[in-house]
Order: sequence, then structure tokens, then C-alpha cells
Amino acid sequence: MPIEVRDVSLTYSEGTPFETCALKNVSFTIEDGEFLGIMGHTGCGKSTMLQLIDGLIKPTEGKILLDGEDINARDYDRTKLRSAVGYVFQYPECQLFETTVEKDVAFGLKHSSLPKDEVAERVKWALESVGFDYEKVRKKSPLGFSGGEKRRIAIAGILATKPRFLILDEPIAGLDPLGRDAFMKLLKTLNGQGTTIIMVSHNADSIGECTRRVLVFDHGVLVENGGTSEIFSDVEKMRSRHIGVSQSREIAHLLKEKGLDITDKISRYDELKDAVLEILKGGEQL
Amino acid sequence: MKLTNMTGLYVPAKSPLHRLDARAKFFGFLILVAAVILTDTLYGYAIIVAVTIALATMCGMPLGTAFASVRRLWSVFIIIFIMNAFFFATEEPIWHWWIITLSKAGMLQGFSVVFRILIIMVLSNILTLTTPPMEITGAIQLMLKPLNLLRIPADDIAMIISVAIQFIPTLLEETDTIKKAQIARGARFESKKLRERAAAFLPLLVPIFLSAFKRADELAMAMEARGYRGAKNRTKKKSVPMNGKAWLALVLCTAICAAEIII
Repeated sequence: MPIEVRDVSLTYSEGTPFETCALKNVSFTIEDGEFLGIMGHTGCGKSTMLQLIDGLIKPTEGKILLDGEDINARDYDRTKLRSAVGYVFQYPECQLFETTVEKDVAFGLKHSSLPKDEVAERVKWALESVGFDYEKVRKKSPLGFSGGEKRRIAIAGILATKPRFLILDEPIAGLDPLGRDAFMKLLKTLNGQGTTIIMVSHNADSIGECTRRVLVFDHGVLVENGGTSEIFSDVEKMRSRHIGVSQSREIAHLLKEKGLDITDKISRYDELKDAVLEILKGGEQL
Repeated sequence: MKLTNMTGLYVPAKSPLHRLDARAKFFGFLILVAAVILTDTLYGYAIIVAVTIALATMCGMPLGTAFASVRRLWSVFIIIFIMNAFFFATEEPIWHWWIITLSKAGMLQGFSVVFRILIIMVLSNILTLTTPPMEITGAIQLMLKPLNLLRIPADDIAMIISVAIQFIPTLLEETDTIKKAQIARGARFESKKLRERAAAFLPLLVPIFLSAFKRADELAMAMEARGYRGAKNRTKKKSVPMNGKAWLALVLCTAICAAEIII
């Protein structure tokens, strides 16, 4: 079990008038090589869950295990967790601070024992995978770029550490459509290379297109945990949770309402295409 | 989020003190502080202690809430007491060695200084626990009004104070997020060496300053876009005259203060 969340509850400001329950009895596991989506209405505990997985906050009750070891145990070596998990915060562009792009991207590698040329190699690779010309940007100040570019630099800083698990909190919010597509493609490539990806998003399309499994949170409770197409099959339920489904699923739903015999197990565009082609072929045979 | 259980922050509730007009509370507080400073008899102390405890019970929270921050400062109080007790210049020392002189007058002085600080702290805790920060700034604005006659821009100062106070929680939250983000990226704030620790704060300070300036820019623009032309002669959205209870509270505070002076 690479990451296991066991009966985790979290209460903020316990014992004061501000006491609020953020998570209640949450249990799930994350397998190696997965592309996991986390969805839920604003304030449902998604970001809290991510921070718990990265050990940035401690649960009030329950355990989080990485490779079978409790990450909140007293004698646990935190550097193991830090090197295994990379966390892209919401609006990561706010965390840039170094004088050059190169230095900022290398920040996460500062405490690693990597040789200098290996660090430079990784920085180059990270900047190129988010679509920058390494030689052109390396000596520039990261603060002089536009919002979208800054975000890509910040993400490169996380990628440079080559984490086994990549956690992303709303990575595409505020990006333009082209940037969004390019970014989702990058995530798919990384996932293909073996990186486990855990992504929180409000965007049902990107969740539907990329993930194979989805967790849905509602008021701090884990209400759904299953295959993306299974969870997207109940359109009405997803709407009532203020989440909705991907456009491909939406189209399939409309087609079914018009009387077409189409499957409910659709979340991605290619699944929709195949299903429609199947029906068309069947029509020809009739 | 964990910052919310800091002592002395406003806690919403429905006690009589919460409902009292903020201006009355603020000026009543100032009058009581004056009373604490002016009194120096045992009866005076007894009265002010009784008043403070009565107010602490009235704010509808466990009695300890108003005293919590005071309890943490006990070592400071002991130091203040010792400094006064041993270094008070007097004619009749109990014990004398080098520059240190223990005297009865010094001990009394130490006691009264500690006592006054303690009571004033509890009173100010009661004020901030029961009054939203914005209402306190409203009262401060009223107090600064006369400065306009001296050509000091009191309204602008009040606006600056209120904007600053409003942004404290936002900035704290942002600091918390950026700190977490940098830890997740491998920043180490817990290093033992002083040099490393100072350097570790750079990844925190630069982003916070940047975002604070950006926020200030955006806020200024948003205010001007909505027609802000300096704070002078601005009217309030909620303009409530002081009610009978508020005046009564002020009169009571003044009476207590007067009693303290007479005794």
C-alpha cells in the first residue's frame, strides 16, 4: 500500500468557539502509478486532505501511512516523505522568490545530495517539460513573467525533485484553454512514466479525461470512491453535489434522453466517440 | 486556522457586553484605565478588582478566557516586581548590598505596578473579546476627530488603521499557506543553526511582501474605482446614535473613576 489513509478525522480549533470539523472518518488508499481525481464542492475538505497526505497538518484522529510507515509517528524520517511527495499548491506562482528562474527551480534540490551537473540537468528537464526554452529563461527573474508563465515555473520547481507522488491543487484554474490542454498532456506523460498523480479540480472535464478513479468529498465526508466512469454515470447525483460531469458524459446523457441506447459508463471523449460509432455501425446493420 | 485560538481575539456571542455600543465600551475602557492608574488605596484596589471580575463574568465566557494571556506572562510580572522591590531609592531600607536595596516602599511600588498592568490587560482583553475590530477602529476614529483642527488627517489615519486591521487575518492565512508551500518544496524552518534559520525566512518573506504590495495596489485601485476620494467627510453606512444603555455605561464608568479618586 503506497499511501493509505486510515480513519482520518480532523477538527480545527478544538475546544474553542471556532471549532469546525473539516474531515470525518476518511479512509482510502492510493496505488502506485494511479491518476486519482478528487472532487467536491468548495469547503468540502479536499485541500485539507491533500495537506494531510503531505504531512503539513496532523489529523486529530487516524493515521496516514506511506509504504506502511505512519508519517506522523514520532520517529518517522520526514525527509522520506518530502522526497516522495511533490505538492503543487493552488496558485503556486505566489511562492517564487529567488533572483533567477534557475535558482528558484533548483530550490527543492538544495538539500539533496545530488551533484551540481545533475541538478542543472534536472532544472533543464523540468523547465523544458513545462514548455520553456531553458537557455532563454534561466538567468531571468521569475517575478518578471506573466501569471501563467510564473505558474509553469513554480510547477517546474516541483517537477525538478522528481517526486513519486505528485499532488496538485486546482492546477489549471485560471489558465487559458491552450495552456490547460498542454498542462493536462504533461500530467498524462508524467503519469505514463510512472508518477502517481493526485489532482484536485473543479473542472469535471479534466478529471473525466485524465483520471481513472475519483474520490468525491461532501462536507468532510468521503461519499464516493470508484472508477471515474462509474461515478460519472449518475449525472443527477453529481449535479446535486454541485460538481457536475464532463461534457462527454453530458452529451451521452442527452443522447440517452433522446432515446438512444448508449452506455452510462462514459467519462472521456474517446469513450463517447467509440460508443457513438458503435451505435452508428449497429444502425447500418439494421 | 490555528491562529484563531489566540487569546484576546474577538469571540462572537450575545452577552450584554457584546451588545453594548462599541464607542461606549471603548471610552468606558479608557475611563477605567484612568481609574486604575489614579487609585492608590486598598479600597480603591478592591473596587477596581470587583469591577473587573464583574465585567469578566458579564462577557459570557468562562472566567479564564479574559485572564488567559495574563497567565502566560507571569514571569514578566515577577521581574517587574523584583526590579521595583530592589531598586527603589528610599531612606529606610530593610536590607542593603552594593546597589541593591530592598525596601517596604519598593515592594509596595512593585505590587502596585504589577497590579495595574494586570488589571489593564484584563480590561483590554474584555474589550477585544467582546468587540469586533472594525467597531473599535470606529471608536478610535471618533477619538481622533479633534485632531482635524490641528490639520492632522485624522480620518485618513483611521482609514489606514481599519484597513490594516482588516487585513491581519488575510495576511496570517497567506503566510500559513506560503509557509506550507515552501516546506512542501523542501524549505527547512526548523534548522538549529541561526544563520541557516535566518536564510530560511527569505522564501517566506519575499512572497509575503510581494503579495502584500500587490494587495495594497489592488485595494487602492478598487477603492478609487468605487469613488473613494479621501476619507474626509465620509458618512457611515450604519450611523447609530448612542442609546440609553451606552450612556448609562459611560456614566457608571465615570462614577467608578470619580470614586477611585475621592477614596
